[in-house]
Amino acid sequence: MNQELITAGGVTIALATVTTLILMSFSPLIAWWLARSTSRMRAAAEALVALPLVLPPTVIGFYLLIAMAPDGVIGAPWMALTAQPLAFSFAGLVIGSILYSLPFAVQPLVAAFRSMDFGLLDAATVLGASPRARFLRLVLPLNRRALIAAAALCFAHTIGEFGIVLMIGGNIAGETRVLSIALFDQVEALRYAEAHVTAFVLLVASMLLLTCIYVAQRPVRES
Amino acid sequence: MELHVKGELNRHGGFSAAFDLTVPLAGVTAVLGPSGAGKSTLLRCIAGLERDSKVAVRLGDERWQDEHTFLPPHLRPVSMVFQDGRLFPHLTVRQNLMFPLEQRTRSGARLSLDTVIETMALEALIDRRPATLSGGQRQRVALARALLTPARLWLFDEPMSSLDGTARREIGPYLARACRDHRVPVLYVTHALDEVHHLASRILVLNEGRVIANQSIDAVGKLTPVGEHAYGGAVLRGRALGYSSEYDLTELGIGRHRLVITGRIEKDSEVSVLVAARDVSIALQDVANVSIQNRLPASIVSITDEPSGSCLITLDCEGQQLASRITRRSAHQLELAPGRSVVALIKSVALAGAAP
Repeated sequence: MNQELITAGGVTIALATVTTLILMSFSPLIAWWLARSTSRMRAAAEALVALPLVLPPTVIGFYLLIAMAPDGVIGAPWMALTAQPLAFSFAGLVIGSILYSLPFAVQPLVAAFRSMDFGLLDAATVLGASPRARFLRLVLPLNRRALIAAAALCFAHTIGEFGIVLMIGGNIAGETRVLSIALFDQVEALRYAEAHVTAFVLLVASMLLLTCIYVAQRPVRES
Repeated sequence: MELHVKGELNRHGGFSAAFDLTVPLAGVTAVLGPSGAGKSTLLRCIAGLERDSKVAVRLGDERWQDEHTFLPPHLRPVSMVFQDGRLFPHLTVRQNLMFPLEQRTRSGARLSLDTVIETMALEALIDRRPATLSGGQRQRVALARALLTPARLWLFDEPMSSLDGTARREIGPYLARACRDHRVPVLYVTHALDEVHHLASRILVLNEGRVIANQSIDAVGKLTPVGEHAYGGAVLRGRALGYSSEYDLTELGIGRHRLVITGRIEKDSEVSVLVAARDVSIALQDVANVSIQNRLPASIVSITDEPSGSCLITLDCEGQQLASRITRRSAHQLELAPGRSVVALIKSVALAGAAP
């Protein structure tokens, strides 16, 4: 019983960590573009990013499953590159989680970027700072709280993922079986004692994570 | 070298401007005008911060912005000081000063950090964060940071207007010193002529997004008054006759007449003094029992009524022009008319123009 929990917990944490790292590597750029762009494409792009919030995870999972098939648009090149199928693999899960958690990374950053003092960026510009330098030297450090919050939200949200994993991940122990899936199995098999432990672990971990996020977000004067 | 700015700009808020100006770049050009006249917008266009504008900007032969080109703002050789300082809150004073030195986007001479820290007296503040500085200190750091940016044109956007009197007196000498020492032309936006009259050699007046005056300070007496703002004034030329250390006053000869000014001026040197129209009152004959020291006989050239119940009177004093702004009622009661001889009572006199 414990071994099952530890294995599934390990997969869950690995998935959340990898997903968060990848998301945080490009979400700030997307968020910056969404916050500053006056392009007509902006609204459509913002809607696309927000889509996983309203779409049933099974819908995303369904399309991903088709795309990840050995002859699918993602699955075929992946197959050619790695000689491994993408569906029902850890890598496939990561791709699904990135899509699913994207709004949780991007949206807090967009909100933070929109409310930042653009006057500081003008000041940096006339001091000779290139757009890249302005982003790295001002935008990121001035929004470090929002960045931490976004990363933590991604992590927590990926741990809570269920529907997509069910559709594309399958249930391979040590590879794709995450805690939420393990819980589902336990309940289906009427192993309630084990289900209680799994559910409680998820509950406490999520509560702790969220508490950390909101503690980090408390208003503090910049000094 | 001349700066050309020409074109229209329309904002969503209803503000629009139509600039068409050529400014010879030498010394300090004061940019005056009431709030909303487009002074800051003009500087932002020059700096390239108004990307969507259709304003063409050219420095000499270099085209910075027109229909076909847009030189990105970080590559334009301009440096700017903003009204609110805009120090980076997450960096210390030293890191703020290092910021322009770390950018490698511009070529050109750079002042050394140590020199600027010394001349701006920033040693004691160097490890502090902007939030712990006073308004005057913050603006001093902002000025120092702008000086450390390689630039062929400085844009000062109301650098003192957010400061109280004490802070202004604190930073004023540093601003003056920066303008005088570095030989970089400056466009200096301000509400108040008295903030720059001792530095400026040229005046640009904007109103409702249009240039209504663009002239050397010698011709300032012919300025159009803008709204309620008394920019009218005149420049008198005179020769220093002698200094009294007891009163810290220098006597100037204006033709056959005498004018006194605070401070010491080298004997026999030719100087210009600026006399704002609002500081000149008119008496029909010389009055002895008043505190006003400067009383110049003059004759009225013209009287122009103004909307706010005042009128602008142009006077001739020994062949030099002088302007006086008084109420229409006073002008009426004294029966003032062109050709009449009067005495101009001058409340204050300031040295004008950093002679190029």
